[in-house]
Amino acid sequence: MTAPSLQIITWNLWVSAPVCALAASAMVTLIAGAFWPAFARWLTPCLALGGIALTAAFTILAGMLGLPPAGMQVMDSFTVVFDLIILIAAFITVLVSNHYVTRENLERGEYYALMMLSASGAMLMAASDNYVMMFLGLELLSIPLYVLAGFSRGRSESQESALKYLLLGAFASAFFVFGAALVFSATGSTNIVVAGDATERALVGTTPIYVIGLAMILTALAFKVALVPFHMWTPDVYQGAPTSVTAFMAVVAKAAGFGALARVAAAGPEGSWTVLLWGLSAATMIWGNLLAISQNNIKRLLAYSSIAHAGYLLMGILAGGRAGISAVLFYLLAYAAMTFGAFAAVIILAGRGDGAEDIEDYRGIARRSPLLGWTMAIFMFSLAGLPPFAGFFGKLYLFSAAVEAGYPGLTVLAVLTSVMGVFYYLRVTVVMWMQEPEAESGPAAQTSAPLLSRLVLSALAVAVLALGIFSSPVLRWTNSGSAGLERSAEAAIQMTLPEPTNAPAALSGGSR
Amino acid sequence: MIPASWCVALSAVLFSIGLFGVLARRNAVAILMSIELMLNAANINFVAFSRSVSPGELTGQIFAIFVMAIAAGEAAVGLAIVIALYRRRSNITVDEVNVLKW
Amino acid sequence: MRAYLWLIPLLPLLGVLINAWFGHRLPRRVSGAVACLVVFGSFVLGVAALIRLIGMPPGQRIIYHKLFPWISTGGFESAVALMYDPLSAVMVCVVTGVGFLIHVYSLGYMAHDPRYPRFFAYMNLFTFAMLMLVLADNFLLMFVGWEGVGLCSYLLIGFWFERKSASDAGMKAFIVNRVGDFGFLLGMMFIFAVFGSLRFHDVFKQVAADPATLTLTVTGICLLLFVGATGKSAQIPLYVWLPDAMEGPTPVSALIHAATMVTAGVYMVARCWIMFLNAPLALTVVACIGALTALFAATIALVQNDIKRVLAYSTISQLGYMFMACGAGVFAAGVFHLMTHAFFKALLFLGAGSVMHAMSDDTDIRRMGGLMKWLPVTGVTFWVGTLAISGIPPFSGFFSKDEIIWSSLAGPMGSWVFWVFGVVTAALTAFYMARLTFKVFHGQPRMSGEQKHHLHESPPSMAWVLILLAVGASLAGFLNIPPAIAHLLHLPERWTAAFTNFLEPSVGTHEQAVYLLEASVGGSQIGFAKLAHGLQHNAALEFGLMGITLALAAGAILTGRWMYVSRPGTGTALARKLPFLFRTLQNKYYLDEFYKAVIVRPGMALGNALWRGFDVLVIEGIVNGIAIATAIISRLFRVFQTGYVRNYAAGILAGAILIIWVLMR
Repeated sequence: MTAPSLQIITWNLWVSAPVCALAASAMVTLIAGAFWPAFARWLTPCLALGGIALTAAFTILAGMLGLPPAGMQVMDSFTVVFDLIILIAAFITVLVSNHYVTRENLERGEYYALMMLSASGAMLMAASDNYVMMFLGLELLSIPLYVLAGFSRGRSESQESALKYLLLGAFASAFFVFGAALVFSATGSTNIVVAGDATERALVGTTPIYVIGLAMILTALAFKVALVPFHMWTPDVYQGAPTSVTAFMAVVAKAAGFGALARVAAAGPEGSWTVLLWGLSAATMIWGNLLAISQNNIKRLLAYSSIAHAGYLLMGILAGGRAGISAVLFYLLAYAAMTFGAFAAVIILAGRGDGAEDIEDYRGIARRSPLLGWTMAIFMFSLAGLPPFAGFFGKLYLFSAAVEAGYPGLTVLAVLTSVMGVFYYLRVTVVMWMQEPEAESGPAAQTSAPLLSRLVLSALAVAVLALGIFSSPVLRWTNSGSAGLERSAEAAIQMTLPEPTNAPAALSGGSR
Repeated sequence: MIPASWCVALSAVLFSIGLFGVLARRNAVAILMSIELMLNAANINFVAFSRSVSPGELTGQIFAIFVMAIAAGEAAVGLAIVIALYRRRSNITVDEVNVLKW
Repeated sequence: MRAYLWLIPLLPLLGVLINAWFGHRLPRRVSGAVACLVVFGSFVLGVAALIRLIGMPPGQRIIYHKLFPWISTGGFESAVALMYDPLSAVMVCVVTGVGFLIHVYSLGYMAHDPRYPRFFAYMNLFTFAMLMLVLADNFLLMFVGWEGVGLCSYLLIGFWFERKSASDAGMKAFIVNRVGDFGFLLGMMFIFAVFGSLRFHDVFKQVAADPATLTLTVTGICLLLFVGATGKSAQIPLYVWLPDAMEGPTPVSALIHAATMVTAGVYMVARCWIMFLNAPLALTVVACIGALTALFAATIALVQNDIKRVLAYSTISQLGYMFMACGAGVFAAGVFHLMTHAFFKALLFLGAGSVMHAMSDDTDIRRMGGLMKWLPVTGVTFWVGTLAISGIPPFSGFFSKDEIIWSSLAGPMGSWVFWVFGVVTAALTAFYMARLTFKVFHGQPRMSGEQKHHLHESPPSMAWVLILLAVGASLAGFLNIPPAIAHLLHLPERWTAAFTNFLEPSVGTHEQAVYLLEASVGGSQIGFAKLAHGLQHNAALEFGLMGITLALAAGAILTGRWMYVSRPGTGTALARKLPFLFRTLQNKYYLDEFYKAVIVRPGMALGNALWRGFDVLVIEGIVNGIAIATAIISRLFRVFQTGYVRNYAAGILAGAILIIWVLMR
């Protein structure tokens, strides 16, 4: 009988330092907002920004220490790159939110605290090499998001969005837990790599149970990143949620799901895994792009567009290896910049109470505000994947990784569907630049915005351009991340495994 | 001692009942309860297999506690959202929450 | 030398930034001057680099300049690197030289437009993108320029977006070009997959090293690239956007849709000459498409009544000529015509702009006539353009067109068939240009009294540009005097075919072409190819055929004079006698209608959702083929996307079962 080895005790605390730092900063923000509501307006966002910066420092520091896997979490270079992407996204969210929260009277202390908690969940998800830790991250990511989706309590759309997200999210989580339980019962481990080790299972004949469990875990992750056919919540929830929350959801929640998927994929699941990802990716690209064409609400359009982008990202996971994962990381960064940009523009345009969310409301707006016209055009072109913007290079890396991994068919499909995407992205630009504003009644789009919003908007546009033109150094950085993922998976295999299981006896009904 | 396969069967049945509840019930609270059922099905699995597949370690039990704690958090947030909905509509039938579509 | 190569594209970019950011705050005069000056600066730098290039020994006339590494993933490296070789040099000088003149012309032409700075910002952006396209040393950077010029073209066609026709035309151009770009992109991906690099140098070296085994692959790649070229250069079947593009301001038509952007396809084919010569089948396709387009567009131009549309179809036809020359394996002839065409077509368009200016933006030639009296400068320069495009010596068109017609016969892939197409098109060209010129500038004035009252010659800035372009259109031909003529006149050696000799390091000599073709699979059998039949030195035949062409062109011009000046009404009578032919031509062979019925309408049904939403989509979808599928999918989508939580949960469950099933297989 081996000694009870609760590995939590042996954790090197540095491994979880970034997540803890962000969660602690969230608590401080929450308390500050509660105790000094009078200052909440400027105090909480400042605290949030400070906390995020602090966490980033912790992340870089922890990354430099070169820590070994700690049994539940790993602090490899993948985690570092991924965490920094999440933190950048969270940072931008705070900046983008400020105007929206003030305008819609949502400035309660918990807004930023919840957002930070959710981000810490996203970080935990990508840092965990254990299904249960991943579940913890998933819930830490999701539960604050349910609250945030319903944050503007006055609007029934927001409530509806929260309810749908909650019920479906919890439903998907249940799949995850049950899948993890099945994996555990089949392999005796919840470690992603150890459980994925096929030799052990083949010996005892529990592979079918393991595969069912893996499939259920994938279901939950596919739900989170909105792959077809798990995407249906996305348009409704995105449309109803407060716009700044939608932006956060579209980027951070999706990124977290892909981080987790990358971890699962790195363990090298066998069987028809590639067929599955191929099919999901193809279906997601086609549906997302096809249905986006018929959308009139800009947030719904962006929701479908985010579904389509999930399809492209999945190509990188499918391609795997250093090139594939690195392309995913790069694309996540590019996607974050252009999606935040688009939503930041929508926040300004929609005006008080989110009145003007129909694309037709934006007729000729570019002439009233060249800044909004130009930046929105840049974001739309980038989302459509036109050079020289970030979106084009992100797609290029993903596609070339897929070609190299031997999926030319899927790549051709991806190019075709992204041509389809040009139609609806271009439409937004055409409406803004080339159509006469209508004098009729109806909610008018706004163009005035505080200086901060305009600065953020311009900075994001510059970032989209810069990520395109100077993609090389960024790609080198994401390459280091994907290399770390590979190394961790190899290391985990070599870790001492627990005692051989006697699962077959257990399953056949024999008792000890 | 109860064979593990019985536990698997029980948890599968519980999970399916929960699944059915989510799909069939229209009351938001009933759906939340069904989801709890699904989570607890997983817990049974965890606890039951903890003895047989990882003897000497408390992995399964610990995870069951994890799941329970998270389920409690989810239920709290869920009920809060449902109450907010009830205040506005005096009604928690999910099918009537149907403004956002297509 | 290297130190300032990057300044050539950078200067126009600077102009964009200035005009986009401060344009509305600057006085108009400054904003326009900045735009012109940056292009002029690029021109000076381009010429300086050209002189430098001429000073180098012929074999080494190439300058590379790597600016910074751009992309590096796994095995894929690409840099932002520029390349200046004779071909790039010619393109840069044409783009900036003619571009500068057109910028200056725009100062006067756009003087009263409220969006003056924006116009110049777009024009500079276009110049920048075009320079990137021609200076790129790899396919990727070239593609970036390619997309950039497409974007600017779209923005500028729709510049007067208040007119629905203008924004529709912009949309049409953009969508048709995306079809072509798709081909280019796929071709590029295949190039990378096969050769592992996107640098011109690396790819061409590999092709030249092993022509025999690569032929099949390269043929596929070349055909895909040519799809891109047909889109950008408006060839059959993707030419439909160019006539509509005339909705843009006239300087735009002159710069983008006549002189520079539309020639990008020709440039690309010439740049990839090694690949095309290794793919005889693709080369034959290029020649056939070019020959067909040349004749086809020329016949349509015969009966158009809109001054700019005649010129648009003429452009399509002349581009067809260039492709025909490339397809015959004589890339230098194609590029030479590209250059002379830039002069005389820009001249013709700007002349048309001057006429429109005087006619209060009327473009219908049936309401013009006798304008020579009021617009002498425009009239005379327009005549120079007409004579040049008709191939009358000593104007530039004579030299370039004659060389194309001769090489379509004597080139490595030449054939009598192409020659016949070339000669017939030359006659038609002379006729429709004569018709246009006589109808506009001669005969009885037919405009309304109001218009007559306003007739005036254009301001000096515009008139001077016309004069300069007319000088260019007259003299550019002497850069490339055919050996036969040079021999006859005992001209010194360096006058003989100077342009071709200069260009040969970039686009290959006759001997290199023959060598590559013979090394390629099927090079000596495919299509009309009659390799190395030794015609190219047969001076007597050359003079004889030249005479035929010249006689036909001169005859056509005289017929035009007879029909439209001496006996006005003959044309109408002829149209009445041949109603079917006339109506077919008038309606451009009903090709727009055909496209609408077969491609556009079903495609639009899908795209209609863009404009009118879901309901129209369903109704249209039932009527039209492809759209039915869309409608069905959309209905399925309606079933799923009900807004009911239960259905969404069912979707998740179904998906989970699907995943389990797939994974368990």
